[in-house]
Amino acid sequence: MTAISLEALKQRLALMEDAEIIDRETTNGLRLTFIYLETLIDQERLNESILEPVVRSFQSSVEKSLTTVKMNRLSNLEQALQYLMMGSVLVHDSSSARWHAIMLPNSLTRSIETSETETIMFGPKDSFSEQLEQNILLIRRRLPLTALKTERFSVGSLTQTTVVLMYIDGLINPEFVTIAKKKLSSIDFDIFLDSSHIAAFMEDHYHSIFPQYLQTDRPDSCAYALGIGKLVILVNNTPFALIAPITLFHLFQSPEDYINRWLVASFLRPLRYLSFLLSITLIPLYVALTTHHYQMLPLQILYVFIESRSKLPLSPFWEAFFILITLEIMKEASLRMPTKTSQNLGVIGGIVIGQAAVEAGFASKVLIVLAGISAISNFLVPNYLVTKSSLLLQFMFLILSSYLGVPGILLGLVGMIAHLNGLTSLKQPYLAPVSPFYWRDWVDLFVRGPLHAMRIRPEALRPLIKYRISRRRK
Amino acid sequence: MLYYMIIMPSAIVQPYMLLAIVAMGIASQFCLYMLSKWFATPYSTQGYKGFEELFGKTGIKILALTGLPFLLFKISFISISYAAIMQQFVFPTMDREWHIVFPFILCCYLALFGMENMIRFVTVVFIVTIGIFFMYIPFFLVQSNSIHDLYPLIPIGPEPFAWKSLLLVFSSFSGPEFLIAISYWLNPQQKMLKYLTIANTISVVEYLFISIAALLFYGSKYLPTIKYPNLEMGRYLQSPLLERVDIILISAYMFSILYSLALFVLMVYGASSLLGKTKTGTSRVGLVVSCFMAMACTLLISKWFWEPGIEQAFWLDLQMWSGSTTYLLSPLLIWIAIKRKARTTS
Repeated sequence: MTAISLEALKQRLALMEDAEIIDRETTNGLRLTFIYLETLIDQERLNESILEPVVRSFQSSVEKSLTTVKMNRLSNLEQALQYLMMGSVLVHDSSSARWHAIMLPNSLTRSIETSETETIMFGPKDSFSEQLEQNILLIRRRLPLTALKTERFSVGSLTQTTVVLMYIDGLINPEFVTIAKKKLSSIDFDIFLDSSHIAAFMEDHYHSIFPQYLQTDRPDSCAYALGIGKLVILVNNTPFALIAPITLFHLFQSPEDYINRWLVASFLRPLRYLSFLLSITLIPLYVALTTHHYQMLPLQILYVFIESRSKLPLSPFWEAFFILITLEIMKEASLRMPTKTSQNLGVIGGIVIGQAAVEAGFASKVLIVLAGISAISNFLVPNYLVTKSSLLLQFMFLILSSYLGVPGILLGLVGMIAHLNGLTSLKQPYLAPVSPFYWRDWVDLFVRGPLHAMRIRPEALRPLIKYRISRRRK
Repeated sequence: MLYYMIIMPSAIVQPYMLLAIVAMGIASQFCLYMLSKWFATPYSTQGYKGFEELFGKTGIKILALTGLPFLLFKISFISISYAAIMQQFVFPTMDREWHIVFPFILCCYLALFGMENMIRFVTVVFIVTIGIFFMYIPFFLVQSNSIHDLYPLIPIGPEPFAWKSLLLVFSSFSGPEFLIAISYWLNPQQKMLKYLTIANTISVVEYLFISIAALLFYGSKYLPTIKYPNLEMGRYLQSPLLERVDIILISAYMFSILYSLALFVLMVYGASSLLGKTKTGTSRVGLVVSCFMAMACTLLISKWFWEPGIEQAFWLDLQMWSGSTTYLLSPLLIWIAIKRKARTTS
């Protein structure tokens, strides 16, 4: 530990043009030195709350002069620099030779906006921002409980990113908290700019294409997750929180499920599973049918297929492969292009894919229709990471179907489900409540049962408080 | 076993033979009762240590040595039979050996997840299997069905039941005896008999369901002429978008086939480790080697000893005998060992 001295600080702050070192003398002759980075602190508050009161003060020490602000006594240079870089003003009292830090961070942030990644028609519209404190506030406002605990961690040797672990004490299974703390403490890396980086280091299986932490920028989703016995990890400078432990089925749930009438939600949820299945198997099924199993098609549909494919120079696999690659190129391009020009992309894409490819004889009309259905189906899955993962799955199924037909697709499905069965999130099974089987949790799984029926928290999470209702029938 | 379920209707050709399913179900319950005694003892939760206390180190080696050929044979029989079905119904142009190799590769992947994950995977397999059964409901709704096709229910004549059919049905119930080997991961409880009884009842209902559907659909005169009645029935299933739904149906059986294969491969690996000198945990390489050993054995039988006709019938007979034997003797052996141990300790 190095002792704090003005010279040492000046040396560390050399070539930092936003570093300021100013001296002030109080009315009774007390000499004070203020050191801060002007880009990190709130200048207005510095003048109003610190400099002006100090200069006018008749007190003998800085602690007595500034009674309205919280001051932290500093003991070594490393601590002083840490405070400085977090947006503090360092104060040196020459009379007592003491150093203090006063937190005055620049509260530069954007306003609370609507979530762009998880849009819903009805329900709360607010979403997280990059400011950690604001994000904690949004959750605390929804769960005004003293049992809602927040524990701070710092990760990243360069970024010193603040990470907050949130959970409801006495409700959550303590095993989850222990595992999460252990994982957070053991992270050793330099840069953390997003919560996904934290998730990458905390995941049990980082080679898998399936996310094991749910990323969300919705405070209502976080509050609900906390309420049923999960934990939330908030990361400074990113609007995306992490929820854990999760299962595959959580990735198909939307906050709107709990706003819609239960029958409507129960209709929509299986539709999402079906869409996911369609998005990964529809085009491979086309390849399997046209390559190996013509006999599976009814005669009328077979005519359509034959007519559509009669002049194509490519095999079904290569035809599907090129169309899928083209679609992905266009999807990626639309994400990177400016909003105004992306409309042109739609027109070009529509003509190139829909019209020209068919006329040029590179793709069949049937495949174009199926590619459209497959692409749209992909967007029904609420989780963006799953949507991206499904692309790789689609190619895997495509290769299997081209060589092994329908059995190839089934072979792939067995492999995929076995893989999912082997995954864990915070050491909890990823396919629960199907495998292992918790029948009570099925009320909110493939369908969304009425809220009245959801009297108990998910058994798979093993919460300490099982019931969600206060008055239980004896 | 799944393969038996596919061919069983060809063994249950007369309506009164449905009673054989019920009778063998009761016999199976007796074996399960003996099995439940094992699960009720503390030895079942102790894994290797429990077996060591019951049989001793040499005894375990002898058991592993005896079990290994049975396991390898079971693996070979299941995969070759399924490959033969795939070749006949789905891919006639593809060599049967390829139908063995591809599932084996995936089975190896499944086995690498370990016993605990494999045991958990059973729920998914069960859901898929139940889904397959729903596909057969339309056969009960065919207009030409007549209740008279299920008569006579009481057997007539001097030899109403062919003993081979009874053996086939009994061996169809076999499989639970392998639970002994995996009891360490099952968290056995006192309620085990209840769970085993439920599973046995489900098996009886499933077999009756499939056999009645076949009897109603084909009639008792035509049924004996078909080799795979259950699968042939699938050919009559149609949907507005797809004909030959049986191709999907047969492929869907892969869930159960691969699951059983992966489980047996893990057991082969376990038995090999017991025979070898390796006492230091498990290794992925060892498991992969076991898987390839099982595949080599299967390919060997398929290439040189599995020709349609006499040879194939021989393997089926052998499997019926071995299935029935292990199902009857394994619980009995363990039951005797428990009794013997109880007597020596008291």
